[in-house]
Amino acid sequence: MSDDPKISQRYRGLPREEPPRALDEAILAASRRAVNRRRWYYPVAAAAVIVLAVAVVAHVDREQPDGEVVAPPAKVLETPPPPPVVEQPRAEAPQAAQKPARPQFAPDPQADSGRRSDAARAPAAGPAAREEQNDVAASPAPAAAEARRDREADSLARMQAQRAPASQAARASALAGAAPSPEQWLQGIVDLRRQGRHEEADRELAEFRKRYPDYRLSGEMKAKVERRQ
Amino acid sequence: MLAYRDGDAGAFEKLYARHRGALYRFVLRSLKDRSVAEELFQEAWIRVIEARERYAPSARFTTWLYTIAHNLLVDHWRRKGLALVELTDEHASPDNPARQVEARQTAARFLQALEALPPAQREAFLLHEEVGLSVAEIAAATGTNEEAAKSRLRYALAKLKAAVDE
Repeated sequence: MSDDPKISQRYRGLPREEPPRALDEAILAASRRAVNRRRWYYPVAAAAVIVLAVAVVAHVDREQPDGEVVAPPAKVLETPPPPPVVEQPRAEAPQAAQKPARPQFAPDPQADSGRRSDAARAPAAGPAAREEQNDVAASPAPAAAEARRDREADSLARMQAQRAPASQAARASALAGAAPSPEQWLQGIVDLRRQGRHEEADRELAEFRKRYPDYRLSGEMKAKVERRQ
Repeated sequence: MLAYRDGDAGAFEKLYARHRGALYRFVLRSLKDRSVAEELFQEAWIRVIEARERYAPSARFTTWLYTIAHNLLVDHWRRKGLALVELTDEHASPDNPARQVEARQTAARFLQALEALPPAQREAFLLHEEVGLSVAEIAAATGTNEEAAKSRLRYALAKLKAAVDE
């Protein structure tokens, strides 16, 4: 574009108006206000985001335990309390309680199957039950009497399991909705064997092997949990 | 502008000092009403302040600034209809026999011719002469293509030349 210098000169000859001072000050004040607003806006916004994030995390943390605590007790309550001596419920009870939480196989979490005495290994049993089981182990009573005592001991153990401190681990396990550890499970199977409940023990062992196919049983434990031919 | 965007208030003051006069004259000579011109001038800067967070240096700051001013002028013209396209009689008779100084008469004639230009041509001329934008930058600032910008500028220059040569 070829400019005509005369036009440019004429234009430059026009008065060079400038904005009034008040206008300058108003605009500059607005620019400073905007910067100052920004100075507090971002820290406040960042703080709000952090507070919100912490609140959400706290809420999630609060929600999770509730879900775990509330659900399992319902399952425990669903389990019909076994009649004291009747044979039938004994076979059904483990199925009713089933996998989610195996309270009947939840003894002392510290259980060490290799070193503990039979009495100490009694599942979720109070002192009375242990005495019964000691008797069973010690005295070579006739088969009928032994079976009866066995049933009574089992029944007593079940009732006490609901009250005795020894059952706290089982209940804790049930409340937490967690399956028993492999060791606890095996200990339960050992206990079933000791009580002569071999069919249940077989079922549990089969279930255990299905659940933990790679779990290697020690020779001692194997001897305890497998049925002796 | 980037420094101001990042919170440096002093950067805006430098920017303002550099552009205030040209923008003010551009707006003032695009309009007839000084108070309206001041209002638009202030509004243009307020928009710069408000848009600082979004500012990206994709074009010269000057082009961006005059794009804002152009949009404000367009809005103003739209509100006024086409009244500003035609000059009123009071502006058409600037010759004052009392004026003795030839230079002042010439300046008055020139100003009259400038005001008589259609807004788009006057805008193109002011952006070129007052702000120093190239044809491409005028096109960018006014949202048109280079051909149109060039044509507007050429017409504006021709009319002003005719007025000067009278």
